[in-house]
Amino acid sequence: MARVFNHQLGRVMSYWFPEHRPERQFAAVFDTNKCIACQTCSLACKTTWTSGRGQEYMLWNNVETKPYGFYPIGWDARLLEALGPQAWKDGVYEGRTIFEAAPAGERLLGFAPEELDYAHPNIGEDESAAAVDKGAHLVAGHANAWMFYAARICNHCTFPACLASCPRGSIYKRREDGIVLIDQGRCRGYQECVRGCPYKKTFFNPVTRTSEKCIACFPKIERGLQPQCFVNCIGKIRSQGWVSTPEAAREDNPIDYLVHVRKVALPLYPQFGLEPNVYYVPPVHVPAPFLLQMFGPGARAAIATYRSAAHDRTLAGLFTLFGCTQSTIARFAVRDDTAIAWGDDGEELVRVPLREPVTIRAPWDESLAVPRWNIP
Amino acid sequence: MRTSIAVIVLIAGVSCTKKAPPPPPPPITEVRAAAVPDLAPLDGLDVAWDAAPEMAVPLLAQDVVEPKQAVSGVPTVGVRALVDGGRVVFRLEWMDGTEDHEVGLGRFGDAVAVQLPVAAGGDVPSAQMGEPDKPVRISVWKAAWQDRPADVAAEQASRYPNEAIDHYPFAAAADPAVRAEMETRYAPARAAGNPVTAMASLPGPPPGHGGPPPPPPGFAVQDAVARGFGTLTALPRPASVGRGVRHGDRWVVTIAIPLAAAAEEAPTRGRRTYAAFAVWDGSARNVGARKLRTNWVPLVLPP
Ligand code: SF4
Ligand code: SF4
Repeated sequence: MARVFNHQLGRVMSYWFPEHRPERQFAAVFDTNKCIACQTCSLACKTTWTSGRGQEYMLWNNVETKPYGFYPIGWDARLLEALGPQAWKDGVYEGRTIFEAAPAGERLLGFAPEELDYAHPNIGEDESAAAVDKGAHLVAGHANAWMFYAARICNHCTFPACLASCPRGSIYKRREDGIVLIDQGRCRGYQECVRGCPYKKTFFNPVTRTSEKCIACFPKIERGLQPQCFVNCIGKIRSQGWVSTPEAAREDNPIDYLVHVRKVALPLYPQFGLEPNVYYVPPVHVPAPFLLQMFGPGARAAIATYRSAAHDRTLAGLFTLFGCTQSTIARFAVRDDTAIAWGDDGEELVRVPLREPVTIRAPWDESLAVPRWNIP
Repeated sequence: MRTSIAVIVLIAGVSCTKKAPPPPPPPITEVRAAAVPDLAPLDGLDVAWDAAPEMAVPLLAQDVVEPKQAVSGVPTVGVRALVDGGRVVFRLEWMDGTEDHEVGLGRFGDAVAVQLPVAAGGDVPSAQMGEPDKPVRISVWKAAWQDRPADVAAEQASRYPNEAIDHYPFAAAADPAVRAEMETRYAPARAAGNPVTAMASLPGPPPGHGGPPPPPPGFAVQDAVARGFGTLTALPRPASVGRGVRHGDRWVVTIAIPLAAAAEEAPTRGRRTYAAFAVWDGSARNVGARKLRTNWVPLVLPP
């Protein structure tokens, strides 16, 4: 194994291949606080890419309710348990990654899900972490009863486990954008990637007898457009862009700003060691130990920063741009009360006011003689 | 009279026990192919196979590259060979108590492979998938290819009787050609001419797409070349055929490989070469590199 630097772990780690970063890296930020689990993203993906025979059970994009939702069942819990202690000290991960915990004769620590594990993609939906005592409501600030929605796609990892586990080298990471793909002409269906990906984002197609995975809608990406699950997101929780390494971060790059400058968006299970490139704004109402386990040691600070956005024009402005353009935002700025996004070639993509103009109308419409509701 | 006969028999018996026992037959250490005048049978249970001596070739762990495979309870694969006009036909028999001919998520099929050096002569490459400048030719038989479903939709409906599918986008197309083209869009491996997809359950790739045609029903061997680990590449035109049958708790699989056209290539009649073998047990989740394999063993083809 080679030695590579994983900036999410703050240390060097073992990986199957030497470090070789792409010219630029596909990345995304998902704000978990805004997801309503409408599954529009799942359907947008399904109708675009996985409507074929053998793909029926596949959800390249899925949304699960944490803590009790899984697709496939137990995907994270099983691996967390097998991985052993996962301590962090001063931002540096002290436990083992799945590559460092590889059993003898294996390339990494993984597990192979069974067919039935995929049979209930909405298991645990809307179940909270604890019973709510004799009441039909959750009290704000609740300590035990909480849940949130985790929307998940392939993380197009910097150190992909799927790629490392394929003995045929059928999986590759594109030099131009870091998107991880399975060569459909070369795959022989060994399912090693299904066993190896800790996020379980490669899927075996029993009809073609090859494995398939999220392709980050690369035909759209190549045209400067965000993927289907982004532009169809009802909650406007997503923004797709490019992430730099921390030392090369640019303040006007939306993903860099959220991930490296403000550190408000965090990787999913960074301790697995893949340097995943989908970053999450953690849910504000979830107990710290769970967030530490799921998003690493920066969770508490990320929530504090997120809460400060109400008084932070740049941060608020950037979140306002989420879901407001179908194009990939290369650069942004907040000027006066307006957030502005530009594309790769410097063209202006969209301009959004930080506050929508508010009109309060009289509750009675004289002209139509009907009552009216004001909706915020 | 009776007594004397008995005595003679007794003496004869005593003299027998005093003689050294007949030496055990020498162990068979090479696969010596017997020649048959007509076509060698692809039925591994045919009596014609009695003419070919069987070598019990030890199965070894795949302990070179990850993922590795430790040895299992299958100690040997029995190998015989017959040569007819233009082919060498191998008969491979090994113990496998579970018959696995289905492939699915987490389900793997039984398989066996014959490996021959591409070049004739004794300078063989690594027995583990060859070397960059010394390729090997591998012919793989898979139970899942032999027993592939004739009708994917019917097979799926019987496996998942409670399935509920809103719709397939291509199902609405009335024109079969349009439907086939649309269906291919949702089967990228098929559109890419993937040789494994071609061997599986689908009809061959539609016009305009590459990839080999599927083998005739019931014959399920794919020919490939390899130049080291992870380099197995299917040949565009499969030349070998083969079929497997269950024999009690054993598989008996025949694989017929055409003899080489050129003298500098293997295998050719009248020349000694080498062969190696690999076995996969689907129930033990053997697939790809997770296999049992053998070293090279001498292969002698009659003139
Ligand atoms: S999330 Fe899984 S499938 Fe996607 S790149 Fe990472 S290891 Fe591969
Ligand atoms: S479309 Fe957006 S809001 Fe709806 S489930 Fe998906 S991520 Fe959540």
